Amino acid sequence: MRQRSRLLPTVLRHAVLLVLSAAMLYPLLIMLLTAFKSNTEALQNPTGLPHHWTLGNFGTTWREGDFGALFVNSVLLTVVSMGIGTLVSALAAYAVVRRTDRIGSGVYLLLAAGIFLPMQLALIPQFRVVRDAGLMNSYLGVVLVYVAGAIPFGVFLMAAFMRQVPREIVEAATIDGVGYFQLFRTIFLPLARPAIVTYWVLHGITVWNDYLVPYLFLTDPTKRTLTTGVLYFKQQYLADWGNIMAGVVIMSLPVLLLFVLAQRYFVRGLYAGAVK
Amino acid sequence: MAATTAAWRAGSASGVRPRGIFTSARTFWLALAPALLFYTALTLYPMAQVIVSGFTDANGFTGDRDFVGLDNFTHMFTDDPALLDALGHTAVYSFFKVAVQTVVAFLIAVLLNKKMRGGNIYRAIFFAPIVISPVAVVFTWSFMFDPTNGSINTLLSDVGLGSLAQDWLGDYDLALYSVILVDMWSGLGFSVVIFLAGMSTIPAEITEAARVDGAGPLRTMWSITLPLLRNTTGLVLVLAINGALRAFDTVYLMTQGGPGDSTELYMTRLFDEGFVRNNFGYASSMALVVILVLIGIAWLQNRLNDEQRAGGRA
Amino acid sequence: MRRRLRLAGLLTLAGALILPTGCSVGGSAADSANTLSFMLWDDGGESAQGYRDVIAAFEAEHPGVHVNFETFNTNDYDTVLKSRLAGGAGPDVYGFDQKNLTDFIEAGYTTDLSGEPWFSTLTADAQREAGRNAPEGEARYVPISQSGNGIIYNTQLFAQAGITEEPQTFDELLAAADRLKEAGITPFAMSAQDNWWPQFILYYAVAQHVFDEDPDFNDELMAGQASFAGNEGWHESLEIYQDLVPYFMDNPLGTNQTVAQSAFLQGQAAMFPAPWILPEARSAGMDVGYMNFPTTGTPDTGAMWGSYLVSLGVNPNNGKQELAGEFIGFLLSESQYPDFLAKVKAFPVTEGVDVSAIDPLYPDMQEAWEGHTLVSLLLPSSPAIQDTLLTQLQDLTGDRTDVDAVLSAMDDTMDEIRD
Repeated sequence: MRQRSRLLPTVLRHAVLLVLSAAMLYPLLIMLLTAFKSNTEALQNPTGLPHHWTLGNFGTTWREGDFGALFVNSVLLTVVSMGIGTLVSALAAYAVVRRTDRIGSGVYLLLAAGIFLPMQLALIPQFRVVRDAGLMNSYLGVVLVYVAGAIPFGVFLMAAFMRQVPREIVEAATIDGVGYFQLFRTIFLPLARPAIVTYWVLHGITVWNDYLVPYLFLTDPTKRTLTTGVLYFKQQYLADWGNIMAGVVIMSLPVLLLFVLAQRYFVRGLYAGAVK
Repeated sequence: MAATTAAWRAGSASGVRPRGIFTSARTFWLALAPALLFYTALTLYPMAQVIVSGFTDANGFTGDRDFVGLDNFTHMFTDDPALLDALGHTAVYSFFKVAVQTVVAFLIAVLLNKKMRGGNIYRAIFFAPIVISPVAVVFTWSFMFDPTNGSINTLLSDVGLGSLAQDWLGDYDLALYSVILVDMWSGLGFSVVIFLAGMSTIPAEITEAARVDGAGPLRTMWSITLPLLRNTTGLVLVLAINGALRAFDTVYLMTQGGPGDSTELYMTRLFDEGFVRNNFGYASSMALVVILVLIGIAWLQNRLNDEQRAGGRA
Repeated sequence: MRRRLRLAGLLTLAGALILPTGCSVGGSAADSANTLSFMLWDDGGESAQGYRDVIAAFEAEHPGVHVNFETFNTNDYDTVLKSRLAGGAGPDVYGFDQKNLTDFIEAGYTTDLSGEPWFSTLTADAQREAGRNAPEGEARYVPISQSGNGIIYNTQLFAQAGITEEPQTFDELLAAADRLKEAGITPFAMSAQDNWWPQFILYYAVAQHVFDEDPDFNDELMAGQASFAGNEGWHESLEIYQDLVPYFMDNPLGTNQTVAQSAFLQGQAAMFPAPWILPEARSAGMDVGYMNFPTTGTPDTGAMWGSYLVSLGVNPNNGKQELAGEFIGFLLSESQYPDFLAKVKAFPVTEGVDVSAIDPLYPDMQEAWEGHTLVSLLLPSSPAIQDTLLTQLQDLTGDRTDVDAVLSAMDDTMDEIRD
């Protein structure tokens, strides 16, 4: 009796998920399949499996687009920006969570409000700040801009998790003489792990995929990132969908793979939050 | 970091102890300093300049700019039909991104929030679109949407539903929904992620207890999961509203507001005014308005949260 | 966990330390007084290579000088250029879009080039163009390549449809388009999803219907002495546009320009209304011919649409005007210019360049333009008016509006501009 009533929900659940997954997957499939077709075939056979699988597009794209160098640039910028951003945001979140008076919540609101700021227009004043600091055409300038942009969401996420630390623990630790930053390192930071993982995933993607900031601040074309490369590439290969998709796949596949692999940690991190 | 630790050690050695949960002001500001520095120099200061521009007729260059008081704002609400159209589109867009996407994301999170065969694969599939760059998303969907050779219309005619084939991005009435579809496809995972994170904080014992007590899955979801997810839902909603009001990339890359004005959104109009028509002051006033609206919504959500918390305790 | 954190922290620190040192290497080269920064949009194909070759030769002849060449796709180019200029770190030499002329001159991003030694080698027409909107006697930007505009057509497809003679009047053009349609061929590789593409139908008509009668129409518009709605030529031009819409690609509003271009290069569409497709057409091994785009009842119109493909401006705020001037002069010099034109497939703005070396069709094209006056600026120089026109054209293509409404919308924008 119990077995039967268990089976239907499971089957139903899988059926729904299957349908939804297929719908989600379809565009990615198209993206992948088109990359293996010649442009002519891409236009004549947009939905089916390639009649002639060709790797030529990838070769052309990688070579002509110099994707090797672009890839490294993107990794560098993203990892460093997110690294600094995480540290800075975690500290700020901690400070704000520990101080519960008006100033504390005031500062928190000030920082979190950054999530709502549409920064498109602010690019020009930002540009001036970076230029005045003499950081034009330097990765440092770009990183600074990215870090500043990453702070609101980081503080927001980490504060949300850090708030869950019970007061008693903090009081007990303080009475024991545990210092401010020691407490941060030993209790609050580890507890914010799910937040940090989520943060890296959600905001790291934004940084990885951004092209406007590198466009504006980096004048040396060899410093360009992967996304700007793909955009530029579209101009070069105006009419060649095969090549464009190959570029898209190259841009997305590594992140996708990393994400799939990191999913285990991601999920573990999320569930870890449940087991206090 | 070493310097601050040393300072702290020196401080506690001299007998300065933080009282209770409140810390000394010094450590508070110390921990805050890096973030505040970045934030002030590169976010607040530039944004302040933009806000000030909202009250001028600046054209974005170092040309002449005169203070025009509230002229920009009155122009926005009384004399700019294109903007009002864009607001209408933004409202439709927001409805789908906020209401529809959140509900669907919640349901998917519920389905995924269990150990099951292939669970990892399903999760990966739903999350995958988030990591794909908007540029890649737009290229792929543009290819799919092409009315003559695109995947969607070709697929429809292959399965005999050719009459359903549409000019997805060229039809004035359809284009906006095509854009919405693309954005929902790529943004769904975001909401699902946050819901799952929130659900992971619900101790399994509670849902187990409910099941042992005989509550069916729907009942559990309604009476247990949802209330416990109030904060998470609030978060998802606020972020969704934020995303909806500030939607820009897809339209900018895919349709540039076209055909005609039918896919213009608030932010694309802002961009157009500021960067194409060189009306930087006017665009800045548009930015200020949307900032105020968003902060208002966030404040409202915060208020509701507090009330729930206060009411819940009783 | 702590180990991982520490590792991440170390990596971050390491990265933060490497970054500045890594940049200073590149930075010093960029900051040296002998670097010229040059920004341009990229049309794809070989044209960027043309510039790169000139740059390489320039650097060879001027040891110690480095030209930093950056290109961006057309969509983003304007935004990046304006942001850089407004942010105070604009390029020394940049590709100039005519619509920004007034704003850029006012904001001080341009330099007077009329005194440059090479300026007098430009054709009279190019010199006049360079002086547009500038203070009396000055020239604030310089066209460096030109293209008369017309139709590149697929000779095979024309033969297939039984078209034996090139249409010389508008009615003949329509007749030819009908023939093509009957033969199952798309007449024009024209679509409207990318809103900048339909201009390449409209402007032919505007040049011939508006500017033949009234060459100073734009000045009158700016002065408030004329209006779009009151201009017969604009009415006719928009009606001609409407007449041609049925001969565009199917579902024009949902088809982007890439697809349209592809259709032409794949032999599905017969006519491409812009000559810059020539390099790609040659690569695709197509058999092509050139003809003027007729929009009137006679081939002997005075004005016809010609555009200056690329114009350059010099930014005085970096103090590099001299070097910039030298660079432009170098590009226009006898040793470089003909090869350059051959690679970018464009026409010269200086006298005495033999165009037959560029492409077999070029002499024919030049001949076809003899006796006509090339008109390049068809709208007042303000970004808002073009923005309005492009949106309205899409509406017109989709049959959502009529000619009168379009013209009145444009007049509304003119009112805003004049304020």
